[in-house]
Amino acid sequence: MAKASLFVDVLRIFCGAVIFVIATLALVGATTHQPVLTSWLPNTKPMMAVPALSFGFLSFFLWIPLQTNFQSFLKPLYKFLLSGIMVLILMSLFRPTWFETSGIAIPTGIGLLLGAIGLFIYCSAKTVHPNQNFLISLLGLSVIGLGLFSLGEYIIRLSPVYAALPAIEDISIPSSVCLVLLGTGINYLSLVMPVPKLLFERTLRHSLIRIYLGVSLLLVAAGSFFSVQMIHRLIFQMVPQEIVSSLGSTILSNLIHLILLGVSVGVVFVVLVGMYLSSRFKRSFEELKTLAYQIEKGQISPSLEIIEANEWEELKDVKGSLIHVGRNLIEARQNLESKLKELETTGAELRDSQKIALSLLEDTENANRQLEEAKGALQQLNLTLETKVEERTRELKLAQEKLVRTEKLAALGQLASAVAHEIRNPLTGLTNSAYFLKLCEDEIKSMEVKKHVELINKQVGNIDQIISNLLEFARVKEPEKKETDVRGLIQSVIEKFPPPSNVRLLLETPSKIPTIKVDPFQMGQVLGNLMTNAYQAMAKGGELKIAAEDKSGVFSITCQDTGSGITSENLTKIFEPLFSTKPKGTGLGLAICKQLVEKQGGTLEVESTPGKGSRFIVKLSRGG
Amino acid sequence: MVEPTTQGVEPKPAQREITKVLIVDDDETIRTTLGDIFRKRGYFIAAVGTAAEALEQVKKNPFHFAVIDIHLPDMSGTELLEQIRKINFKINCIMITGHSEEKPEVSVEKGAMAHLMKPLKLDQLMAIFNRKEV
Repeated sequence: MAKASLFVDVLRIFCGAVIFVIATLALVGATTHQPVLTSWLPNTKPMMAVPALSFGFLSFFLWIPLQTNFQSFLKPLYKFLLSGIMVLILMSLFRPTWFETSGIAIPTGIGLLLGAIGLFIYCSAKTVHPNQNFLISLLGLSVIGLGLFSLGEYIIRLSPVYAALPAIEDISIPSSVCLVLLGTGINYLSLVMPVPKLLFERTLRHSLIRIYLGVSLLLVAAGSFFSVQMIHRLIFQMVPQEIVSSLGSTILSNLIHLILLGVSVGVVFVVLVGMYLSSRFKRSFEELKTLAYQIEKGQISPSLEIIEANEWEELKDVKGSLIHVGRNLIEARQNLESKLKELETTGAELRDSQKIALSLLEDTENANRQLEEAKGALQQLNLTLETKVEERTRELKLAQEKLVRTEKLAALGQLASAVAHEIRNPLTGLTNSAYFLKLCEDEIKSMEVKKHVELINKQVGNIDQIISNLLEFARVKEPEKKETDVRGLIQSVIEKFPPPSNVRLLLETPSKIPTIKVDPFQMGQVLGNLMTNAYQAMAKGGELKIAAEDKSGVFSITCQDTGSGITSENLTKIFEPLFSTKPKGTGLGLAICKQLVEKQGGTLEVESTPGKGSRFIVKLSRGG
Repeated sequence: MVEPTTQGVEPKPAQREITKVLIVDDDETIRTTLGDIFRKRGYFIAAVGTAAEALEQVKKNPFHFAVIDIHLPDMSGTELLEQIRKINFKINCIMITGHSEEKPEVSVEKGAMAHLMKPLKLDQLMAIFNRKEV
């Protein structure tokens, strides 16, 4: 590419130099009227060639810079063609006679062509900015309008009306104006017009833009030239005849030409410099804009960082600073973003930690609560355990007591059984003797003897009772259970053991009372014993209440007296065999009662208040 | 051996046969006291201490009543009752015992007229005698 670039540049410089030489020669020839210099030119108006050739030169060096990546073999061809076209146009201007009637057709045709191209570009470029869109449409329409205007003039020129007008040599004022406007329009279009990428390769697109630029400038130049021509004629005509005659028409004409040329060149120069500067600034601003956009995006393209040598120092500085600031900004932003991310992460971690802490707290609370509950349960358990231990101890004690009592009773029973027979025989003897004495009452007159015989009989009766009671222990029979009417049982016991006259008997049995499964004989024995005890406790009179109650499967018979009661000390012993508080008690009655009730599967309980009375409760399950 | 006597509390008409009672008990006191009471009532009494003696007496005399202790040294009173009934089934046997656990039903089943507990309720015993005498 470097080789090709070098070739292109050499060619470019060569071509430019040739054109420059020709233009210089033309200029010198024109000013000095040296035919040698101008004779080879195909026109008598070499002055007119100067701006055109200068434009050609400038075009080669400034406005049509070829791309280095353009196909190398096309570059000289392209330049040759371009130069050819320019020469052709210039020649057409310098030798209007060649084109006599069609002299105006070239600008018209070019106008139309450019108008059509502009419209085509306008139609194709749909991705442009709305503002640019408006401009492009405006320019496109202007170009078409100019083309049409030029066509209109051409038609007018062909018409007979035109012949009547004063002849203005080759070209008309409208044509000049058209050309200037057209050139300016195309120039502007080429600057703002983004050629669609789809249509052309980048390089070709760029070249097209350059062509437009060049063509437009040529058109501007041509228009200006024509205008200058017109102005020159007008000024020449306006100058008084005296001045013309005194100075000489040629000198005046040349003077006016020079002045106009200077003005034209000055204007063109100013325009060109302005365009150049604007394009430079524009590019720099575009870059700055892109830079700003890239800073906003957060990434600066490396291509932007290349500070070109031909940029303005200030802009370079601005750009450098901007890049620096932008880089710092981007870095700061990235830092900020990374910090933000870190913060977010930290925040999330903190939130997680908080959650964990909360959950831990909750767990701890739960654990505490469970611990409290467990503690409570443990205390309750301890309490229950203590109660249970107490209960068991009591039960054990009771069982032990029962065992002791049972063993005691068993031993007693065995003893009683063993001696009963032996005792009963002497007793029988005693009884018999007493009876015999009774039979001999006729012979025994003493009342004392009779009294003692009675005493013997009574004591024998007592002894026999003790033996009978003792023997009850010796053979506590298994109960023969059967459905028993409790009311009837109580009644029969009352009949058997009627209350003494000073004891009031109160019977509280519900009218509807279920039968219970017990041994009626043994139960009668128990009730009789309890009642007898009650009578004895109420020696001074009182009230005995016998109540039967059926409550939730447990049947209870209560004997409540208003007697002397039992002290708490004695209360624990009353069911012991051989324990008695009565002077003549054997201490077996309640022990037997308890044993009998327990044999029935029930319990015998006692409640007593000394001085107020006692209450014995027989509890039986209804099923026996 | 106690001699029979005619002396009684309520003397029976002369034409009537004297009531003969056999007392079988190993306790001498009981034999003596009971014998005295029956003699006082005018009965013929034979009082023995063993079953063997009792059977001997039954074979010799036609007793009306026999008062037998269930616990005898050589034989149980119930067995004796059976043997006596084999010899003379007309004898009215009254079983007496000091043991409460012995069931009266057993004695009655074997042919006893009554089963009484010691110490004897003599009014009750006399009532039985009176009833049979009539």
